[in-house]
Amino acid sequence: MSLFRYLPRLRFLGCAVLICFVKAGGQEPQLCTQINLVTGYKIVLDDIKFSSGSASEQDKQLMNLLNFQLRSRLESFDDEATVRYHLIRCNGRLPEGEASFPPLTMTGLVNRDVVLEIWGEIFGPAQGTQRVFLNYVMMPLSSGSVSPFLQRTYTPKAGSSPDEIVEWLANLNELSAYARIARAVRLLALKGPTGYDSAKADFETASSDLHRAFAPNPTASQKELLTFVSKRKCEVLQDARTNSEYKGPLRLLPDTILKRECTGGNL
Amino acid sequence: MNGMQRCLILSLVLSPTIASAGMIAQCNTPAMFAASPVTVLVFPYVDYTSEESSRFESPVGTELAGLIHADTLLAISPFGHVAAIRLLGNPSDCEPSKVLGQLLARYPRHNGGIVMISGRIFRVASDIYIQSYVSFSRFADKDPGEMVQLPVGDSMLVGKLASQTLTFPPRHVSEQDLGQIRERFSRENIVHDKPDELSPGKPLLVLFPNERRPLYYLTDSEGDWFHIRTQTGQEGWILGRAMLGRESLRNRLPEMSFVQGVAGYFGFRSQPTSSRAELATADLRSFEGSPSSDTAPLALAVSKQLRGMIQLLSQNQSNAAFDGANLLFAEATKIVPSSSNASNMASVASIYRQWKDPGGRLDFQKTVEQFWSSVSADPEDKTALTNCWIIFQMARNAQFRPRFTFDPPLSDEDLSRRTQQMEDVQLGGSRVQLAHSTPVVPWPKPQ
Repeated sequence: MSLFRYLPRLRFLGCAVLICFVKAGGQEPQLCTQINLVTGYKIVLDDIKFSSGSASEQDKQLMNLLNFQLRSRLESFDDEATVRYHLIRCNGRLPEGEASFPPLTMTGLVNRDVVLEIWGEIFGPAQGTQRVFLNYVMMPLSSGSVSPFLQRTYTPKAGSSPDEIVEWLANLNELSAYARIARAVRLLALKGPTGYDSAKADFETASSDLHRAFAPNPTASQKELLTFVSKRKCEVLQDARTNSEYKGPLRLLPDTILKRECTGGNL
Repeated sequence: MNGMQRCLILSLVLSPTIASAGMIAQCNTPAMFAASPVTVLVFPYVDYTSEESSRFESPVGTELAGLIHADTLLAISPFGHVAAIRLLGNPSDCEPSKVLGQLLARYPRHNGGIVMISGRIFRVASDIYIQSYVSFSRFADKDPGEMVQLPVGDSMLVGKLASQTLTFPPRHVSEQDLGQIRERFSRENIVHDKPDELSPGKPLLVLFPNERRPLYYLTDSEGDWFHIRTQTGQEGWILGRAMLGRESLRNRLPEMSFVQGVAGYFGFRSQPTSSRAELATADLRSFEGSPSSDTAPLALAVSKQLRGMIQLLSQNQSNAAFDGANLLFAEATKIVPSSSNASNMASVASIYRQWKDPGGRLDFQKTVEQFWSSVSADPEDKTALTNCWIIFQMARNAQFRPRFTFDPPLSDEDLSRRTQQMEDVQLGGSRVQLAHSTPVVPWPKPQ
């Protein structure tokens, strides 16, 4: 059962709102209506909002920081000069959870190469902590065996010092992992075997980041995602060996490597 | 370039007494010292507090860059013939890749190292958050990156750094710190008669009338001060060490130690002396030892790899050097387990260490599996694949075959077939060229 239904219903402001497109690594704002014209993989960053009744200075500070950090992370996580993502900043958009992504909407977004959408909410301090909900939708996973929706709850200490908040923000490494998983799945759907090499690299990095982020006690949905990534990785490796369309190096991997990577060793 | 600038650059090249040089340049008309083996480019930090503020040069971002520039210049001056250039301008002009492209178009390529530091700042009430980006390369088109090249038989195994483009986590500075940045910057911008703040002084830019490019070289240093001589023939002392109150800015921004360590690495590569190795290693260690370094795992791994490379060269690639470096390379792999480059470099150094033992024999299966593991982590990177292919080639060669053990046994036919399969591999739709790229500065051949 999704946690989304517990979130307060907030107005979906989407279409009519002027939103900004910012080219990754650059500073040129463009209208979000151009999202359809931009080619390549896209990550949509929506609003981070307060829950009703919570808008203290400290909450505002946290929200502003989150926006800054999410944007920084998403713009810079590809460490290569050739940027492979475009970050779409959608000011004013706040989906209502799964209800905002009916199949047709999801298909439309997937077809436009939107791989990830993120939004969030901040709840005021309770029992010594603040609660931050970040919602991730890995669009291309919608046709797979795992839910494309993932909600993460973070609990920075109420009254955290700026240094503590910074430390907390710095550990949000999992953002790029979600984007990599979604990109890999989309690539596999689009290109099949010719996408194996890139997809495998994405799965590998994402898996490593997620294991670190979810440690030491992943929840059921997190375990599900980790299992999904492992399984897809293994499927790529196994198919690479036999699929005549694939010509890359993975077809030559020794059995020992394959067994090690395919937990369960279902060769 | 006017005559005086030419003269200064020539003197930088020719005179062993001139250590380092500094310059302030506009991003849309960037300049550099053509012959410097190490150049650090410090870009103004962009204020991302609002869309509006991100479009213009930020006063605090510029002042922060000014402090980083002076501190870096002072810190790297012992490496000799180094330059730190502070860039000014709007964010749209000050994109590091764009500026580097302009410099490459304007100056002859050389094998010196370029380290670029840029960043963004964000204000929330009285707090400021700073995030830095660092990249480094040789001053060349399509630099293939820094690498170790270790001879095995008649071939060369290659290991590369995990990355040469790094993002650091945000750091926090307070309004009080901000005031101190401004106050310190105003003090550092004064050229004094003596290394004493009470001595007479005048603003640095006053020394460069008639829109002359602010360009100077360091002739001496004393504690936190360095002595400069300008192209206009004037001289004086500048306070270089960046402080926030009583704390060094480097403590607050440990990436400055990383930058200085990388600059030190390039300085050491240009002239590999033990003192330079110690300085560069100390800066990298300082970065690794900072409390927040584990929030920048990739930079932490690269720092360890660089230390390993410095250790190898400073100890003449002896067995002891490899033993020490291999530990560092293994640590890097542990920090970024999904990095193909990190695991490949660890494999290369470890395999070479075994190979260089007279009579040492490599377990063929185990050796190639190490490389296959790196290939699996990133199939698009051909470095590990090429290394693997080299091992196969060696095993097929009658001269080197006795250096391997084979369990399970492999016939010549098996080896030939598998070698051929590797040569038929395609990457990005074309047949892979199983040859390592050549670094701008080759790795010295081990004795």
